Amino acid sequence: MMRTVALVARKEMKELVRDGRFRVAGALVLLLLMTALAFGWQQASTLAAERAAAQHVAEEDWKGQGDKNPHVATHYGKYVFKPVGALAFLDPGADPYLGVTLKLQAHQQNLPQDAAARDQASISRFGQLSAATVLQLFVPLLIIALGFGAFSGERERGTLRQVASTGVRPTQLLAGKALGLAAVLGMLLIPAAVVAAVVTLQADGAHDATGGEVGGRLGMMALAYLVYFGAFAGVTFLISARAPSSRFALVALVGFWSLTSLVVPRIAGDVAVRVVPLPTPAEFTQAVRASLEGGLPGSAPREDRVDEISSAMLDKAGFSGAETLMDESALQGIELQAEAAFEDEVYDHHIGQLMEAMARQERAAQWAALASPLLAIRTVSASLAGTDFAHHRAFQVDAERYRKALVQAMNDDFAQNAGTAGWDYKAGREVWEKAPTFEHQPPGLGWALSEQALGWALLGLWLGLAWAAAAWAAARVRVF
Amino acid sequence: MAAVLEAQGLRKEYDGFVALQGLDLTIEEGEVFCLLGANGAGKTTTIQLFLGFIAPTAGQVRIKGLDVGQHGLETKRHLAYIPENVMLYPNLTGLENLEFFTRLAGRDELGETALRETLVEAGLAKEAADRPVRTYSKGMRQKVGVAMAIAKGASALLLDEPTSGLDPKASNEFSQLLARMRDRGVAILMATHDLFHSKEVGTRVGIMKQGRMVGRHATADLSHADLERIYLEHMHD
Amino acid sequence: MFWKVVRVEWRNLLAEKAVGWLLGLLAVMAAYAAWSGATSVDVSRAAAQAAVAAEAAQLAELKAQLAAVEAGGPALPYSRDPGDPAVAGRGLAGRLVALPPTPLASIAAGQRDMLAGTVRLTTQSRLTATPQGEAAMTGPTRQMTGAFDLAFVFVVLLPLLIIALTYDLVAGERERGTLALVLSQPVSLATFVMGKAFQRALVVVGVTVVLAAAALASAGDGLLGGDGLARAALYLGALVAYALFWFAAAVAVNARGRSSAGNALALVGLWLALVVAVPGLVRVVVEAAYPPPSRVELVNLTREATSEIEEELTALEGTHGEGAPAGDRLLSVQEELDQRIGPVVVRFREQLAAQQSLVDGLRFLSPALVLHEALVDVAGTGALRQARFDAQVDVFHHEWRAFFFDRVRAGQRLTSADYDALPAFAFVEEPVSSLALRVGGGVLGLVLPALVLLAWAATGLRRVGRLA
Repeated sequence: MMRTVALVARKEMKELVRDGRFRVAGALVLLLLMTALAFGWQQASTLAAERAAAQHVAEEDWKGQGDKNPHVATHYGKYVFKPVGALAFLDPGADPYLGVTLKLQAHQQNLPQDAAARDQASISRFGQLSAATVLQLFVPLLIIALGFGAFSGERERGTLRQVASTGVRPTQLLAGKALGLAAVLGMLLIPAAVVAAVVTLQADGAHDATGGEVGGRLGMMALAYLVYFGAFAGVTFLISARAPSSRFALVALVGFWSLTSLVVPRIAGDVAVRVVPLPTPAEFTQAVRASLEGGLPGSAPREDRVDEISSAMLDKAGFSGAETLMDESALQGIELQAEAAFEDEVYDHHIGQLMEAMARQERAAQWAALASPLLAIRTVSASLAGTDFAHHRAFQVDAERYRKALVQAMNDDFAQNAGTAGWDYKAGREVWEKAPTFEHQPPGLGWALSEQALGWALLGLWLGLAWAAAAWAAARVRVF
Repeated sequence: MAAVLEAQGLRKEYDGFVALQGLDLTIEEGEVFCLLGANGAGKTTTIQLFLGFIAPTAGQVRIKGLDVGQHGLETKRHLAYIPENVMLYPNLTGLENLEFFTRLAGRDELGETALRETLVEAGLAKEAADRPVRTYSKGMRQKVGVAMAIAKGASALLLDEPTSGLDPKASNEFSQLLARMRDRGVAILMATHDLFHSKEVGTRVGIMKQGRMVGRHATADLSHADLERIYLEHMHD
Repeated sequence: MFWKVVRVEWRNLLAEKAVGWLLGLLAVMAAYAAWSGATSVDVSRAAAQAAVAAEAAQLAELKAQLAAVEAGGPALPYSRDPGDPAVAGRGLAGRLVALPPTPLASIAAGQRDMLAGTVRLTTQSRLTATPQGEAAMTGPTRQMTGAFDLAFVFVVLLPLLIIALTYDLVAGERERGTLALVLSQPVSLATFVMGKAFQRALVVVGVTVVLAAAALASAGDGLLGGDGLARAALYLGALVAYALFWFAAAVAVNARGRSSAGNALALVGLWLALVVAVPGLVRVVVEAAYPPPSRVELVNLTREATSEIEEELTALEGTHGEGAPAGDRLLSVQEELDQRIGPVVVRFREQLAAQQSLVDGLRFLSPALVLHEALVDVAGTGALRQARFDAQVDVFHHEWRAFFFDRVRAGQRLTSADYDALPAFAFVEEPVSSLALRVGGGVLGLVLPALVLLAWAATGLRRVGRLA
């Protein structure tokens, strides 16, 4: 039984490796993959170094801002930069389209700016040549090229009759062919995977994630691509077994590939934008301004809400009704905090809504993975590389949490130390240095997996369905 | 009587392998020359050389006095070719196939009725003309092939084992068709394994072996038994 | 003979059901893309118009306030005084300038979702004036996949359709055994193949042009005015040349005399190379040759400059009190900021321009790039038109600033009449001749390789080759 499978697998391997087409195509794919890895690595390390340096400058800038009132310092604010993940070089995902610089300041939440794609020529619309592109687009075509004749070609050559006459079970034949294909692809991809793994783990020190984390993500990524290739191989064998001729099989497979990999993702993206429309920048700014002036829709107007918050704060501090006992600047500190809390409410609401809309777009598009294995792997891969929208959002949330802490710390310092000086109180370098520093810790592997549970499920679904169908088709394959 | 098909010192080599060595052959109007011989004896090579599908290594092929190498397209106006399997466009009907090839052959003046008549003349049942060719038997497709030759008004017919795989009745009908073409003055060169029909329709037979014409006989001089004996004798030594 | 082949092949083409299906699919996708493109252009046009109108209303409001003061009403506080040219120029009064979409904007999304189509100008530096970003919000999902526009349908999908219709041009006949019969007729292989290919090209190009033209017709009446028709002609010309290239490639592959499956593999491989791999590699080369300057560094640089200047400002405002900053000094500060950051911004633009000109040269490596660049160019959604817009905005910005600064320097207040005389912006379109020159170069870059391929194919087709 196993012997038969192994025998078939060995024969397939020999056939494929001796096939000139495979050698040329394989060499080209490998060359592209290596180019993409090298270029991606170079770009990602440049970016990472640049942002790390910029973050350092920003921290220094904060510390060296000179003597001023701590609240004024929060007006001055601080820039934070989105760090580059250790695996971004494998799959840039949505990163080029997401902002990287975020200004943190009092009274205002900003959106990350300066997406890399802004400064690119229109050629960028062809997509980036990354390792992920090669794996997601090119390798499936290679699988198709290698496998479209698996059954139909053998039938045309008449060898399928001979094989069937020896009593090999169709499923064994299928398993053998799959193993042979896997072995041949492995010869191409395993070296590339090893290179990627070694490079990543070696250079891990340069990045801000721990080694185990990166290793785990890399491993899961390898698994995800394995599932993806497996699904494509299943579809390839299915169609090869059902097709009346290998030429039909090839055309059908290329058609399947172009529909699922080219057409469906674009339509999904387009439909998602229509189903979940985003406000224009002007509308968004306008909505925020309106809420800041008049209060959130359905909630009390600004003054009332601020009073509410500040009296709650005083209650909490045990000063209810006894404002007179507090010194002026402490009261001013509370007042500032209340104002800030109100503004936070407004921004949290609006930015939260915006982020949620973007995430809903993402999810809407993701369901199209039912019609496109590419979409499934794309979301899963970007998630593992830490370059999807969810990771971006995590950064933004983290930065916002930090912003609140920073503003709070400064306002607290104002409240505690200003004394009678009030607005004339000025803090200096040691206060700036004492303030919390920003260090974004990207979410862990477990979080990424649960965040992309849908993507994994859809990927698994493709694999399961494709192989069930392939086994069914192989069992019924016509030998004449 | 004018020579229609002529070969002079015809030689064909493929990568050092000699498929045909020094063939001389002349076929005149109203003659049927049957090429006999084992597989690989050079029969198909001879026909392909007449068609200009391959170029001779040495020697000359002429059709109606025109060199095939120099006047490839011109010579094809006079030729009709019926391979072992007449392969037609499966999704078109017999009539549409005939029309296609007849137009390619340059006979635009033949209308639908004329083409239908030709099909009937070639022995195809009338109602078959409008069925797609994918439903045809081999015999029916061969008849379309003959109809193509008739419609084209070819003065030379090249046939490459046209009756192999046909049942005896179909084979017989086919031979009768050839006899009719012969009587109209068409020069016919046919490669075949069918000794019986060679004697029936052929005016001459040539026996080929390893690229050489080893025997030529007029069929009028031979009985069926003689032909078989001579053929086997040649094959044995 | 050639025309005869073209004529008699009709029935063969019609007998293939796949042809109808494929052309139908193309029609459906083109229709969706056209609709999608048209609606998104409408949305952004409407948004831009609304924003421009809001800005105009704001100016009218300021004018009314000023008129009320001039008529003896109570003075407004310094920070909201529309009569103070420094204050008004710094933010109260702005001009929203917009890049109008071309009549063909819907055919290629280009960089539309990336670049700023509208910019609010004040006397402040253009960099610091718009911290919230200017480009439309599209969401990363769509931006990353790209739009489903006509450019995508034609650049990416059309060649696949052509491949599906031509991969077995010769091989199919050979495999079915019909080639031998065909060649026993007085027709040469080259004539037969070219005739078949030409006939299919006629159908595909015909359908494509009809679809493309229909998409244009739905784009509206803007087409008839200005350079609309010229752009449309360039668009259709580039499209036809692109289809021609792929037919030529198919004929060339067919001339090699492989099996139809082998042809299909070779053509899909070629498609993958020219439509996906080469553009990707060109992008690698372009970014390696002219890496875009770091926005991240720009942020810090701007900050450094601004904070120094702001320090000066606070010092100024500290000595003079709330009511009376030295307008003069304020201007010098703003100008100084521009002087410091200006060169960096210029570097960005230069680098982008350098990238684009390298792309202009390298595009000839891939017909897909040629067509894409041509479509984006004709649609006016690319970096070139944006750069033109930016340059014009810069000039206008100087004019806008001068209007306020002159009054600041002269110590004049703005009057309500001044609000009617504010400079206005109108985008001046590139002369259509230079657009035609670029696109024409591209068309040449498609037609020449196509002719070379056809010539090469013709030499290959001279030999009859295998028949079965």
